Amino acid sequence: MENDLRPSDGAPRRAAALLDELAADRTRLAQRLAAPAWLYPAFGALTALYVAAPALEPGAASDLVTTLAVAATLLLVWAYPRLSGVRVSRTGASARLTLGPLLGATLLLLSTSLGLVALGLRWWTPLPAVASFALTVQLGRAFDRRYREHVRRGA
Amino acid sequence: MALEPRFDETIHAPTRLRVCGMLRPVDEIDFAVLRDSLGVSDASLSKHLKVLTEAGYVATTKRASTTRSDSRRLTWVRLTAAGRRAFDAHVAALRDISAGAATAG
Repeated sequence: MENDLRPSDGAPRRAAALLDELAADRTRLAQRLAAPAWLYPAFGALTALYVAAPALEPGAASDLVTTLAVAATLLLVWAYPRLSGVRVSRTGASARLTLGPLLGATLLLLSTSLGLVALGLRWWTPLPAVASFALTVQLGRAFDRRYREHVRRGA
Repeated sequence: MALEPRFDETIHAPTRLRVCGMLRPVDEIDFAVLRDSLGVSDASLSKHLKVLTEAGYVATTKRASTTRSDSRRLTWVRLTAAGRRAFDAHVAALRDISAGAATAG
């Protein structure tokens, strides 16, 4: 590659070409960071399990399912960047904005599930669990798009 | 504080510029992922990383793999704070040159 940027008529053009190449690399990196199709459904299944856990008989079984769902979620958050070979913590404000509503909605749906059990409507708890799954998949994918856009812009 | 454009000969070599560009928006990248993304050989990437490491712009860490069953460890590569500053200043200099607003050399 011609890389001489000493003053000449061609220097601005060569500098622009280098900047374009950097932008193209970032675009390829952002594409590589796209989550596999199973990742957000896996997170969705774990949050659904967490939300549905109150439907089980109170005691060891319910506690075990809750603990396993939380532990598996944390394990996935920890392991996925190591499996993908790229670790990104600066996801950008736009991506982070999806996580607050997701956490709030999950807690709200868990409260709904607890309320249904308290009212003796245990068999209705799959409804908030399914809603939790759908919300996690949708907001998770929105998070994924936004943070990859952040990487693509090189911010 | 506004970023001061500064042309950096160490970073400017084409592969090293691309290495820094790939590392800038992330925390760290596995050596093999970086090699494949740039389309360079192990030896070439190692050589350029050595130059960037000696300049204090890049740091590497060896860690056990979560997927390998043998004892080989993965090498993770990241930009240092000095590397980020130098890369940002170099890109600012390229932008100036690109805009025809500055003369290099």
